[in-house]
Amino acid sequence: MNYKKYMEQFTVSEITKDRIYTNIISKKEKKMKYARFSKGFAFVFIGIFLFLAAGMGIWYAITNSTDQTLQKRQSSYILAFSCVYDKSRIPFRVDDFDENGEIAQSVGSLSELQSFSAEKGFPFFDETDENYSADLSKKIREYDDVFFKNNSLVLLFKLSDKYDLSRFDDLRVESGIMTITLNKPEEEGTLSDLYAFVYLIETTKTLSERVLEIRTETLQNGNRVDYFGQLYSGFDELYSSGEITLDDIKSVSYYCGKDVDVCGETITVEPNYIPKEKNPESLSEETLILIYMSYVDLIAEEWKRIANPSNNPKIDEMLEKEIKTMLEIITIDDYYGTYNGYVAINLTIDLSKSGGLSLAVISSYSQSLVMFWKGHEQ
Amino acid sequence: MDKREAERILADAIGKYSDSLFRVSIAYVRNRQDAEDILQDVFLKLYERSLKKGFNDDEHLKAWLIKVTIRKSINVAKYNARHRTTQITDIYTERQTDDYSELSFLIDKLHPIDREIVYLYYYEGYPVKDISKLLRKSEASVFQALSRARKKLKGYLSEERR
Repeated sequence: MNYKKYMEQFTVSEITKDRIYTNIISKKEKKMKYARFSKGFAFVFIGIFLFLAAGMGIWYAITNSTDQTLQKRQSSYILAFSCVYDKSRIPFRVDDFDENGEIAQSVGSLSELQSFSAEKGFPFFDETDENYSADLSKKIREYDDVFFKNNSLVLLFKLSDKYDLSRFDDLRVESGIMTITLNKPEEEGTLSDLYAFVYLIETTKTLSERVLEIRTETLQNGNRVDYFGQLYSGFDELYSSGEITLDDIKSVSYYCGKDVDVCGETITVEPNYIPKEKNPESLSEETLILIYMSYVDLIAEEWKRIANPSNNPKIDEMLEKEIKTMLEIITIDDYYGTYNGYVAINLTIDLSKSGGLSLAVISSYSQSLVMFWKGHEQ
Repeated sequence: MDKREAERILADAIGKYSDSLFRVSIAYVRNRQDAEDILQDVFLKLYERSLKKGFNDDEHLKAWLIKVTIRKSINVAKYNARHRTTQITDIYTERQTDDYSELSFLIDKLHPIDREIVYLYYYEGYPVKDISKLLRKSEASVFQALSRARKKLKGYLSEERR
């Protein structure tokens, strides 16, 4: 038995070596030819570009009027906050919603925001309301006179009976109408219950001053979207892709109070190790909800794959039951800090209450001590 | 450095280090085609670098090549794992059936990083200090990995013989 002899069987043939050499030299030659060509081309291109830019500038100055269509520009709006709440956690009254289950409002000052909240019976400024200290209320109270000097706030509240409704995609203003576009996947959600979606969109004053009416439109998008965020089990994937560092892992290990395994190696924290500070110090309720929903989403996908939906007419009914059970038995026990946007948590499942839940499905996602979650980036 | 000198370095390196780098790569990607593609990328990178600056000596060149190969192999292995396109069985078709086939099978069962360390230590003859620099790990981790690999191999062997 000889390891050297074993490894020696892996060799590269002379033909392959020749091929590699020839490929590299010819590739490089082509690149150099292209570089010479593109140098000449670049001058011509820059000339044309400058000419067009000047032309467009003149055209914009001539045609800029209050009714023109404003295309998506990074500076004209940003999605500042979005969250989904299940029935038991909606932090505002839903009685006054219209028949479409929607409230959309643009406010240009703090007093407008306060009167809008009072008119709709929202708790954001009502100290006596139990939801006054909810994260959404706190977020809304952050908008002050300084913000409203140059900006406006668009508030969109939407009720739905499906947990995977739509996500914000675009906002445009045309002929005095602000249209907020939401993207909806082809795949329908299966969990039927009341859900409230909230979007806070910050816009420039110039954009919102042209708005007479707000509408929403929902586009059907073929791609499935990770609405709630992405979960990662253990450290290996994030560490090997460079998303988290060894120091991050040590900090997690410190907060866990245990050694952790990374890529087959056990990481032990030295006794005098000083961990990174947790930032944020604790998780907001919104983040916790998103993590729960991400987990349920992940399990639902896996469950569907295993349950072979094409041969199972009762798949939706069964999945709905499974997901409801899942929401009752999963708990985020611990938070170990946020590293490069990845939230480290310990998520446990009370298997004793799992009922008919398919253990095979959840086992691969519940073995690891630490999970990471990253929110969906808009 | 001029083009002719860079071509000479490339030709020398392909002749001298192809086999070693191929073995480094195959420990991660587990199939010949990917390992050969990685080799081509690594040598292309070498050629590009040689046109700009040289290496201190042969050892420096070899260490640089291994480092780049490891980085590229990890990327390809990760891509394959996500897209499930790797022909894991490819490597097994190369296994010979003489007295060392048993060990080769057991080494294949090790974690890729442990397999890499075993290769660099036992085949390339790199000391632990150099392996720790190459893989950007502490010397203690390399020692741990080696001892873990030895223990695992011992365990596998006793299981096999039972």
